[in-house]
Amino acid sequence: MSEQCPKQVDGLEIHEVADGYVVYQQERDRVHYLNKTAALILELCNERNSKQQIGELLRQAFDLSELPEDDFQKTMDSLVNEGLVQ
Amino acid sequence: MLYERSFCLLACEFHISTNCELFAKQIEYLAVSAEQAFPVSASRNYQVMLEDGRYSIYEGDECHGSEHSPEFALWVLYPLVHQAAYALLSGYIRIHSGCVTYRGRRFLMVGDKGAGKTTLMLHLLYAGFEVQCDETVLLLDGEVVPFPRRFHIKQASLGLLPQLASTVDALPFFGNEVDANRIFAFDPAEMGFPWTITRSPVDAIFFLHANHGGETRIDSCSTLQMVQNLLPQSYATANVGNSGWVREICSMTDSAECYTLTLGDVGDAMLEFERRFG
Repeated sequence: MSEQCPKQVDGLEIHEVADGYVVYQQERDRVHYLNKTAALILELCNERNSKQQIGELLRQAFDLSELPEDDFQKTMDSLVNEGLVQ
Repeated sequence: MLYERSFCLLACEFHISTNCELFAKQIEYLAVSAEQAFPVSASRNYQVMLEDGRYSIYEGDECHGSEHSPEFALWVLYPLVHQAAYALLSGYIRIHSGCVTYRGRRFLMVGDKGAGKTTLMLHLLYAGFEVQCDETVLLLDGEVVPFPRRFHIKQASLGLLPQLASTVDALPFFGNEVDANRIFAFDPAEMGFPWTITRSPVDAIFFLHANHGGETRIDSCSTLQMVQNLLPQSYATANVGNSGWVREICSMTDSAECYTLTLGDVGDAMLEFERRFG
């Protein structure tokens, strides 16, 4: 993953469902459910935002006084570990 | 004389009593003898009393209805019992599916009404597979629990089940004796088969497509296609939001082998199962 600007991996098939996304990786035949927060983070992983900026955009989007850093980091790690973000 | 029958449906223990011998036989349609590794947390008591020619269904002092025949009384009691059982299972996802275990692997057989689930399940049972249910499994945290309902066999399907020819007359049924649309209720344990309800992850999911009289085929299916097939065949009980529902379905599917089963001749399906998993 680029330190500054994470991006979605190519070839993800994204389906909007109730309260989130179902994301399909055809190459690995794997399917993932992302809740609204994770779905938004995935959308923000567009090579234009650094991780820090994504956190800040998330904080603003959910009108939080402070970003829950641990949860944010866990979600980012999970997206990377599952091969959805690089 | 008072007839009494007790049984469990997962977390709920039921005690049903009646003063009518005819209705006592009807209770067997509901009662199951499955061994269930599930903690019981509640008990419900129902009485069905024949009074002045009518069958009244009581729970304590509350009367749920007064019917003119034992069949109609069962029609009232059946949903009461099942609703009470499901009410204790909030947090689970219900999936319209049969459940089979073979050589330690658990398979789900999902499909629309009329796809042939029960017929296939019974053939698998008589072929040595352990079959836990033909209708509903409950999903929580990546593991499924088969709901221990008797298998419901439509009278029209009996021709496909020669194994039952000698025993069908002994099965409890819903409907009139002369009715051609009777539904028989089959309890595997009563027929000498193991019937044990346990919680376990799913190894493979089959989505059934009816192809009555046609070819039988098992094809691999993508996890995405299976999720799309499963969502309309499932729904969340209380306390599970949409996100929990979809997440659980995705998670279960992602860790299982996925197949479509085009079900024509059941005998061919059995051969295909033996070839792949036997």
